[in-house]
Parts: sequence; C-alpha cells; structure tokens
Amino acid sequence: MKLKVIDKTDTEVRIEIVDESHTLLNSLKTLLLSDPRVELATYHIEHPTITEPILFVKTKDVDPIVAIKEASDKLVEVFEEFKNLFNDKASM
Amino acid sequence: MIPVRCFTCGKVIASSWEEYERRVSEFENPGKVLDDLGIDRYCCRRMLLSHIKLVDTFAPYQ
Amino acid sequence: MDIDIIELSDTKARFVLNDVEPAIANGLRRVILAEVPTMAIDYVNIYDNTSVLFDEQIALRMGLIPLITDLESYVLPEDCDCGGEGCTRCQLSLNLSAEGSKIIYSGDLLSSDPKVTVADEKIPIIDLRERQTLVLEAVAKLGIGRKHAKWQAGVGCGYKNMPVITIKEDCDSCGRCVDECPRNVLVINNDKLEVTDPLKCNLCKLCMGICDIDAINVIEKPNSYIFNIETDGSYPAKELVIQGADTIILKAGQLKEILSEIE
Repeated sequence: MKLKVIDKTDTEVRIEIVDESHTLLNSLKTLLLSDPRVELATYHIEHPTITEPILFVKTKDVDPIVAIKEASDKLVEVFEEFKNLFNDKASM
Repeated sequence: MIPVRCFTCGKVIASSWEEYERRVSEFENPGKVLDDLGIDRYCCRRMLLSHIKLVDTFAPYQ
Repeated sequence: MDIDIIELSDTKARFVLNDVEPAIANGLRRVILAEVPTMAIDYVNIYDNTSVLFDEQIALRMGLIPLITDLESYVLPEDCDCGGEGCTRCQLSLNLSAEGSKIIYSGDLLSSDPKVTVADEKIPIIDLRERQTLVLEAVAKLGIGRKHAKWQAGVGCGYKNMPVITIKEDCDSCGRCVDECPRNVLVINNDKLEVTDPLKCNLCKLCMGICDIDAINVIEKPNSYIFNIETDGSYPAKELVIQGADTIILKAGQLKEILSEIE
C-alpha cells in the first residue's frame, strides 16, 4: 500500500490509495461516516483497472488524517471482534 | 482434457470428471451424479455436462 | 455483532452474521474471494513435452491446481527481502517427470516442501500415450486472487440477506403459495401454512405476489446476512475466514502506519 496526498487543508483531504479497492475503502468510508465530526467521506475509482481509488474526507474541528486513523482503528476492532467470535463459535 | 476449474466460479471440478464419466457411461442420470459429487452450482455443472473429450482424437499426433 | 455457524466442514462454511454494516459484510466477502494470499504455480520450466497439449496449456493446467498454503513459512514475492527475484522464503519448486502410456495426475507432482503439497491429488493433468513424455519443473509462489484466478482461495463465496417470513392470522391455507415457491420453503401442515426452513428462501417474493389476501409477508432483515463460503482446498474453510479477517486487519494497520508518517 502506498499513499499520495493530492490536496490537504485543515478540514479536507484528498488521498490516492495505491493498490487498494472497494474491499478496504467501502468499509473505511462507512466507519468514517459514523464519526459525528466527519461531514463528508467518500471515495471514487475512475476506472477499475487503470486508476487508483481516491479517498476524500471533509471534517469539522478535527484533522481529517486523524479521523481516517481513528476509522482504521475502528475497522481493526470490528474485524478483531469478528475473528474472535468466529474462532470461538467454530471451535465449539 | 477437462478444464481444471470452473470458468465462472473457480471451483476445482477436474477431480470429479473420471467418476462422472464412468457413472454416466453406466447409464446413471447425469444430474443425480453431479448432485452426489457435490457440484451444486449450474456454472460448475455445465463444465462437466458439456465437456467433449478430445484427447483420444489428438492422441495419434504429436 | 453475532455469529451463528450453520455448517462448517473442511471445504464449506455457512454462517449467519448479525448486526454488522453492509459494507463490512461486503468487505469480508471481497477479501475472502480476492485478497487472501494462496500458493499457486506461477512459472513452469518445460524440459520435454511430446504430449498432445501445448506447453502453454500444460502450464495453465498446472497453475490452476490448488496447493495447500502455509503462510507462516512463505511471504508474497513483493514483500520478500529478495525483492521478488525468488528465494526459499517466497517460492518453492515442484517436479514432474512422466512417460506414457498413463494419465498424469496432480498427485504425481513432487513438492520440495512437504508442507506445501497439492490439495487435490485426483486432478488429471494430461493423458500420455505410448512414447509421449513430460518433464517439467514448476515454481509456486504466493499471490492474491485479484491478480489471477489461480490464487483465488474462496470460490462461490457470497451472502444474502436473512429472510423473515411472517404468516398472518387470516391466512386461509389455500396452498397456492406452496406451489409457487421455487425453493419449497412453505408447507401445509394440519390445514395450517408453515415455514420449513427460512434459510432456504431466496427472497423472490413470488408467494407475496400470488396471495390475494396479503396473508404472507417476506422481508429482508437489515444488517443480517447468510454467508456461504467454499474453498478450493488451499485452506480449511475456518482458516480461510480467519485469514480473510486478518488480511483486512493488516491493511487497516498499514494505512494507519503510513498516515502517521505523513501527518
């Protein structure tokens, strides 16, 4: 994974995420939107095979990069919970 | 030769071919044989159902 | 979040996943289908081939054979210290040397690592005739399904919404919905309409359409999914689901790490 920051202000950020797809970005977007400090979060893949996805986040009173970091923490939590639960149920 | 995997979903179907061929040649119902072999999806079923074995035709040549 | 496992065998898993966002469920499906690394033959040195198939066709057939994957001993070539050139950490070789007349099976491949062997030994590779020979060395590497279907660990992996079928009091048990249902979910038992197995329902809602008095109602339960997962043999089904979750965790961790650097 590689990141390219295209635009950044105090409340807005536009990042190109190289070598990723809907798999990560759609879940990340949903978790970003569940954060009340995030006004807008979306991503765009111009062409599925020749371009890389671009993530856009707009926030109020918080650095958007911090918001993305917190969302990725939440994503880790969700899948850790899933993994532990699945492991418990599967070994029963 | 029978393709190794189903073109659509990627399930390995080649390993079921020999049993399928044998049982169908013994006049069993192909649909039932496919059910027994655990090939449920129609994408995988058509792989076996529509396969034509050409290796015997080509075998004399190199 | 809640999980109910309905079926779990070596090759198949079926479970109900409750109280998660659609995006998370879809992320899990996508990662199992296309982003869990598996082992597959990527390069074939053909020393002798006088069989009826071309070298390329043999190589394709070799590539599609599922190999049991050991993620502890191997890394993806692009993450390897050797930079993808090929070393014992990122690749292994399998050898095949055969002469006709007999059918060559995937089980005839001799692996240099006893832990990474073919998952299915009964795949016919080629039918060799008298005086036909095949000698080759195959190099297997880790890869992901997004690049090529041979690295796809989860096959036929998908989910549907959990159906909720409610039958109202005023149902007159006419039985027309029973005939209409393509999945045979409904039965009439002692003059009463009953649901046998709601998991079988495919949410087509034909029963709702045929009912004149609107006595039956089928809805999708929000945030509840029935997952169906099948593996190609490179992992047991349980392991595959856990590897899928691990892959997403790894990705999210990487993203956070890189963001901390640029902040």
